[in-house]
Amino acid sequence: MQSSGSNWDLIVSVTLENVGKLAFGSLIQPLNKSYIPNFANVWKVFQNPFYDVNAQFTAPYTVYTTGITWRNDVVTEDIPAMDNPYDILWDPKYAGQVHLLNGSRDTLAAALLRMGADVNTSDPNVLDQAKQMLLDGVETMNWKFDHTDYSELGTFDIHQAWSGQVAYYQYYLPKGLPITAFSYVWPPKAAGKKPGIITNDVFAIPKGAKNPVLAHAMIDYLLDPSNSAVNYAYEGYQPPLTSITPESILADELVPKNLSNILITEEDFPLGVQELELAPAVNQLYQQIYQDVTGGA
Amino acid sequence: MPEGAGSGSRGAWFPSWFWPSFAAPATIWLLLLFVLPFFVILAIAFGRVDPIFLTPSPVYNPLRWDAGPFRDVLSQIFTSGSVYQSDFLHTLAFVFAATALCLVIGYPVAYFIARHAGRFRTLFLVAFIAPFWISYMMRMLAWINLLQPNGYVNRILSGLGLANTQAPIQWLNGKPLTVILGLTYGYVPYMILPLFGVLDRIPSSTLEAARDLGAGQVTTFLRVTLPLSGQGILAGIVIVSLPMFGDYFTQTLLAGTRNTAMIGNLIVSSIQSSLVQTGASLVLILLVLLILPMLYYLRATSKATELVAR
Repeated sequence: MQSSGSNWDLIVSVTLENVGKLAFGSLIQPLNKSYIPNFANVWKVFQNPFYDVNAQFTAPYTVYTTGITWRNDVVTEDIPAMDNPYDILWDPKYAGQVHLLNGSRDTLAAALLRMGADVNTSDPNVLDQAKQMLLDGVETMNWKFDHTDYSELGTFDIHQAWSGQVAYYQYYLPKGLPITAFSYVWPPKAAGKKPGIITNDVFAIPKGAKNPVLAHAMIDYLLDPSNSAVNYAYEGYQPPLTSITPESILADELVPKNLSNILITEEDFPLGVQELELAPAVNQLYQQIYQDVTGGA
Repeated sequence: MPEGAGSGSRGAWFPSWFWPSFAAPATIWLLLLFVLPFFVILAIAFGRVDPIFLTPSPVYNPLRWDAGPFRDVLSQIFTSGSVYQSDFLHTLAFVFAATALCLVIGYPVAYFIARHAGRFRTLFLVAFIAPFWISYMMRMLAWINLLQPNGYVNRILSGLGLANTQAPIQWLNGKPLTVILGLTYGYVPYMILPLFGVLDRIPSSTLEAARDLGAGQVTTFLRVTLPLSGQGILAGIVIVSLPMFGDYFTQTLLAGTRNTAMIGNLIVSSIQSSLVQTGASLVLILLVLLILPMLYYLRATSKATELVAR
């Protein structure tokens, strides 16, 4: 956006860690809520979110958790009953069969959450421990790093996954593999109640967008429950609208019943942790650690 | 006729700049699409980084360049156990193995088409060029389906008793062999074509002369055909290996693990994060590394040309 200017009228799926930078750098413009009457449909927690007071610059697009998905026909452990579900990502019994998400924040989060540390820590000692834990894991587990797990169903037994990705699985199943073979857990709702990431992506309009009114109209369109439901069927990531509830999603068969625990309510937010904006030097450190761990893979 | 002027075959007069001007498009192309972007890479590698957005701030004045980040990357390559060193070693190993395989597979194919395909030569040539019609990435994506645990490769191997259906081979979970085979598959047409060009030009009379002098087929091949195809082999190796050094999505699609990551993956990963200076430095180092075999190739070709001229 800095180098190529406002070639777009609307940015979709901005993550929270970038909202502050975009606003501070005057790369996005305030929203005119009079053009977005459907903003009233979003969850209360997003009417005045902590990352964007009074939702001046952003509107919520999707919500999702980061948990663990696995093949329940292959994995014998009861992962939700484990004291620390993240241990399964390091279980040598499944070496070569475990995938982690490929992003500096999510990959490091796997180790930080396993340690019980803050996913937004800037403590170099903690980050060093997380790095070492990941390097040890790379050695023993030979993790594959990706987030297109839906296109690789059948090639992994366990995957650190976003809840929205898991919603796609039913459309990409290899022949002979039923959707009931997959399970998902978000650790805050497992027996050990370990912390887990919950977050949302947002819409924003670039400063200097050539069609800002149309951009507002598009946001309003997608915050309409009927349009949002159609988009959800394609997107897989749950929209945070009051009328789209887990019950309505299951009734419409958008998500298989055995994976109903990927669905989120407003009350889940206090249970989880969110990936926040990091100071630039810390952000760079996270990215350097990620590169050292993955080798760029 | 004015001194220094060119002369056409039928006595036409051209100004002295006329024939050299034919090099202008290539020179402009080289300046715009190589020299200028290369200078930008230098400006990024030796420039600064925005302290808030961590985006690169290129410095175009060489007198203000800072070589610190570049030196850090270079020292990491020589540090045992560092990710830079391991990615470089992976790359060297994979490129060497894949190039050798391309030669082993491509040479017999080129030889057959050039010398034994007869009236089907054009058909075979079109068949071997056909993969060029599909993008490289699409061809690699096709392999993902074939190499799935229940894909056709495992099914065929199971049928031959070489694999177990209950515990299929996990081709896509970080196997160096998969990456090497993927690179070989992707680049072998580039080996076949230059080899075909050279083998096709070997006069039949030369081979007949060798046989007339008592050489058997194998001896003729080893002492006549193979040496005469040396330039084609060298050209094929260069054309195949150079792009392999920068390849990244073969590994990303077919493996995606640290123990198969190549230097191209490190460059892409750096550029897509806030480590753009690292990426630019790696590009420069890779360029210097590849200049050496290129210089050898140019020297070898020019020596061969001199020999022919004598």
